[in-house]
Amino acid sequence: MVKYDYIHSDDLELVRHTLDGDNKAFSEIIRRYENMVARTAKGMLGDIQQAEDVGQDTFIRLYKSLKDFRGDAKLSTYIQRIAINQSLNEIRRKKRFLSLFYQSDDKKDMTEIDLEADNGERTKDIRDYVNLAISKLEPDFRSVVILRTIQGYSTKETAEILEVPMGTVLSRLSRAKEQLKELLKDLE
Amino acid sequence: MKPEKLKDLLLRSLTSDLGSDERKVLEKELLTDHRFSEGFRDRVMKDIASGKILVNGKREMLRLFDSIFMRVAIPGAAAVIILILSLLLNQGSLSYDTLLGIDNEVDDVLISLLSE
Repeated sequence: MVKYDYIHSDDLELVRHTLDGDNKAFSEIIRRYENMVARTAKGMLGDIQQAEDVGQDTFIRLYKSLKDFRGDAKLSTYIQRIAINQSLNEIRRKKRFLSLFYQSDDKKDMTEIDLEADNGERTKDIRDYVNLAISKLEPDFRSVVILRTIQGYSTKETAEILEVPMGTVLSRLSRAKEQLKELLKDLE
Repeated sequence: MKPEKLKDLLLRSLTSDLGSDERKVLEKELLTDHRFSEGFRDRVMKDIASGKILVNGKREMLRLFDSIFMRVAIPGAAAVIILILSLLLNQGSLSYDTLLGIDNEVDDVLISLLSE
């Protein structure tokens, strides 16, 4: 019996094999896109446990909806869309329920990070400062920033992933840029 | 990398296409760790194999319950203690003097000390 070569198969073949009940093919899909989903989830939610849960939910949702994947768009676009939607759902859920009980970390003050500190961790402090500024953007703005900046998608691809018109992406990018400029005004 | 350079790269990346070198620099500067923890793939496959995908909503509910419980438990416990104390004080089973660790005789001792 000829052993199936998962590593050199294209995405559509892997999807077909998964739909035929071959879970090893789906495992290969996870291997290919795990880091991409991690970048999106961690970019949207921060480096926290929920980001990993969102990653798991993303692949589980993908598995459940593979039969609806028609192959019109790339599989990576399809996965990215699920990851963004799952992250946005998580943000909304957190906001809706937990704001009843405590003030969330989103309110963390940027002044808590000492940019002048000369403690050998300045690079980390600056990275935290910039990431905190991104996390302060509205979720819709944050998603376009993550897709453009962290994932490197073009405006057209970003619009395709978010399923919104190009004009909406451009307007969100422009507003996100203005907000980031203001948030990062002390970074010199 | 100088902070102003990072800021410039970040802002430029939003409205124009960066070159691959600049993009790599930006990714390196912004991302702390872009991987999930060890065994991520196995955990997802295990969930799928065990049919947990059918109760995905339940996992979300449990996670939410955990988060809420952690934040409600401490204030809740404090509220119960205050309630018990106030009931005992109202019933007279417990006095403020007992709570503060002083007894009735202390007043007399203090008066006599001050009058000497």
